[in-house]
Amino acid sequence: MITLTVNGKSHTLDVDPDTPLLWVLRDHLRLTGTKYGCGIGECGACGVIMNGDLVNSCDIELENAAGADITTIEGLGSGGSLHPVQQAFIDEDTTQCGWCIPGQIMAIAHLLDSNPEPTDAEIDLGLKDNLCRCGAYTRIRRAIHRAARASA
Amino acid sequence: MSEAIKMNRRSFVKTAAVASGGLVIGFHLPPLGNTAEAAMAGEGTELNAWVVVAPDNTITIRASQTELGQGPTMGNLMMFAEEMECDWADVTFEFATGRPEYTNPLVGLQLTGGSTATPGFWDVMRKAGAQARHMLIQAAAKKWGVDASQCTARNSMVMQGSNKATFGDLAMAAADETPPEDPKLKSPAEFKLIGHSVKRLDSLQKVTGTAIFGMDTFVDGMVVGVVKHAPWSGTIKSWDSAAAKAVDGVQDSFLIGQAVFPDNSSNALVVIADTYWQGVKGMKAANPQMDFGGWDNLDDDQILGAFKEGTNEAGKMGRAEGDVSAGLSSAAKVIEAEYHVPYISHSPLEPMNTVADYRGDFLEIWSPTQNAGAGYVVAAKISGLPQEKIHIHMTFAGGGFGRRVEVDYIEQAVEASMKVRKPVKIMWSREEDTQHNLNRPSYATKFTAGLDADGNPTTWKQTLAGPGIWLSPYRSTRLKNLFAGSDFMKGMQESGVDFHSVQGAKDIGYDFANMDIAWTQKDFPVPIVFFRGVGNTQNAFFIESFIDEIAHESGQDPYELRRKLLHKEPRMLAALNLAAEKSGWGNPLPAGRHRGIAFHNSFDSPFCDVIEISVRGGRRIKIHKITRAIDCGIIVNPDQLDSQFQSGVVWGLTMAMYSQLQVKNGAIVQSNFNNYRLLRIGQMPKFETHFVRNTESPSGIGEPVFHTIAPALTNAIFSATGRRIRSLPLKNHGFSLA
Repeated sequence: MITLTVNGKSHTLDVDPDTPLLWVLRDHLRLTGTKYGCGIGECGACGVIMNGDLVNSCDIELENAAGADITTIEGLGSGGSLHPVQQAFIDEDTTQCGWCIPGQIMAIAHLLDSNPEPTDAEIDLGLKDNLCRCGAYTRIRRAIHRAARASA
Repeated sequence: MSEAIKMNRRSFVKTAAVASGGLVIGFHLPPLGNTAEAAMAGEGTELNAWVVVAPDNTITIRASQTELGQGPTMGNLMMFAEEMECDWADVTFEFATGRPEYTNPLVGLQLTGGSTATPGFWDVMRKAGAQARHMLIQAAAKKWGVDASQCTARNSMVMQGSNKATFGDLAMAAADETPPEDPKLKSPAEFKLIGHSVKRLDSLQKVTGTAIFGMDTFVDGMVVGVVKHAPWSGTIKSWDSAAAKAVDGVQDSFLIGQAVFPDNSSNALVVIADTYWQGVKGMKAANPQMDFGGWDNLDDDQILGAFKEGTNEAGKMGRAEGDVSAGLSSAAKVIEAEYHVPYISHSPLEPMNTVADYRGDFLEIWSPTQNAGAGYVVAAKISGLPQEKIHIHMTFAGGGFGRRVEVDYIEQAVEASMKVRKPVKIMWSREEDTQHNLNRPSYATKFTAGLDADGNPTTWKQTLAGPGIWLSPYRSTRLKNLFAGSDFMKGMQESGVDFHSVQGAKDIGYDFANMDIAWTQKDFPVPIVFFRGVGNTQNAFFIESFIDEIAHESGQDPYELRRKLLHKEPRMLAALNLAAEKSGWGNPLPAGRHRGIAFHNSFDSPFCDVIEISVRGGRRIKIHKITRAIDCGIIVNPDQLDSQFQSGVVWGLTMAMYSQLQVKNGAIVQSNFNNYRLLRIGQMPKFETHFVRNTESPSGIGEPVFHTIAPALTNAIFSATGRRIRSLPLKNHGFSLA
């Protein structure tokens, strides 16, 4: 039995301890906002916040998440309202297919936490591990700047 | 519309199913947030196959085209809402399949692809929207005892004098009205929605993680089927089913892929487990042993060698004008060049998957497919059920780019569910997705051009060699089975030439007195299928590079040469001229800066790119600016178009710089995004877009947007370094992006 907290809710799970956190979230907790894209930490679609750090949930075995406090895309907003990054993505009409979007938003929210007004170069660095196959990079950058302004 | 259905949506679902070849016995309630089903949950009245109006004035328009990211759903909803006179704030949507109305008129199946979503439904959606409006107006006129011609519809309301009623108030009565067969449609000057930027309706779901994609589908009692494919023309010899079953959660393992089209199927082992990860572990334990069917040594050298040889053979003639032999023998100068490109993969970020639930007398499927139409056909063929006993729920799809036109994953899910008699979610890993994709074919080509005394090319000969998507005896598109014997199929292999092999080569707008376009068929077991843009992806690179070679060889400006050659094509010329003008073509550049230009016409949309670069150390490319120009007729949603323009830059640069699947020992070398690279945000250059403004019907967008990037870049590299790049990707030539 392994216990962890996801979006403020505690879960005690009887799941193989080597199961990647990604599949625990998706298959066991049915939190399907966290996406599978590569399984090797190359695409960022499975990004979640674990104990304050951005991690690729495909890279974390459940046993290494024991006792952890995890936030997924479903828990990013607060009190029923959207996180400023989510709102900025809507305002900039950023999404295309949408599969990479939860991971992009988690990575950006994490970036803005430590750097509320990132430069373009800092965005390039902070988002280097997030692939968008549709190619929405220009609008993702615009949404980051918009979210930064909104939070300022 | 005497058969118009008026009832609450629960009973609507059942009646519609009977009427149209859908659902419904004991269907699973879908997970929350699945737009496809959302409208079915509430009350509302169906006015026609495309729209349900609720009493609270929520207008649910049906989307028959898959939302793959490129925005066809939004465009089609706008076209409908424009004529129906909806307030956009009242509009919501749901995906719908299986009714004849949803057939793509340009394809003959409910298929999303070929950049046909907007052009194909331009008349369909506007007409159906106008008919819905007429029904509402007629109902209002009766209610108020006035003539329908005195009523007007606007902002989801019908008005006449001081009378006013919402569409929601009128819908029940309107369902009994018969609209005109052929309603008058608005002229472009009257458009209120079309031509304006309208926000996507799926953003909220996508940014909160509540949009339900294929892989996000869960139904009661569902198990997961993890697949591992046999070599392309091989089989799985054996596997350890006991070891697989010993893994916690694993229930079964068996072979699938033989059920339909045995000459065009992929064999795979499927491990059935409670969850994905258990299935992955089960597959590892099963340790399947492969038989390569005699193709153990197939590699790039063998394939490319055969293609290059093929370019020297006569081939089959796709187009012949004038007299090429005479043109070449009388030419003042003859130029030759050979080019080639590798196999490349679509790699949509959501790997292939599908859920099927076979219940003996009914089959229900949830799939992120571009081709529900083909899905119904193959599902019926495998299950033996009539299509009326099958329902496909089209989910959101995490990219498609042509890959999801194929329905192999639907076949697998149906086959597996029939075997275990449970709902099964078929899951491909990224590695399976990369190594067992149906790819954009590798191709080689040879050009011979004859120039007259003034340096103008008057004779043009191109011989292409490579596999045929429609003609390959190996694994390729399912559509060749579905369309076998049809007129459409004949068109795809006219004169024995594969349509997509010469697509973008046979139909070029350049005017040459003598012209031969030939194709030599060389097939290998590497699976192939349609890729965003299909034949244009290689042919635009080949042709635009060689035109540039001719310009330099004859001392002409590459833009001016293209202008001359396009003199018979005013729309193409306008797009070319616009890009040249906006990029400042011909104006002096700062030291170290160089430009490249490329033009291509595909899916009826002429497109031109000018790329400005500098190259450091002969290898590191810095892109300073990309100037893009297109004529795509009437623009339905400028904002969506802009999204596609940025997408085109990313796709063009990814293909130019990185995309390559290598073949070694009968298999693909690349496996995942660590060795099959995609462009990342830091490499995204600045670009600007310009439109030729006119009132022509909308033409294709999703595909034309990236073909000119690679040749414009390589032409700029030639200008900067003197190196002529005759194969892709550029990483093989030592180039990287700064």
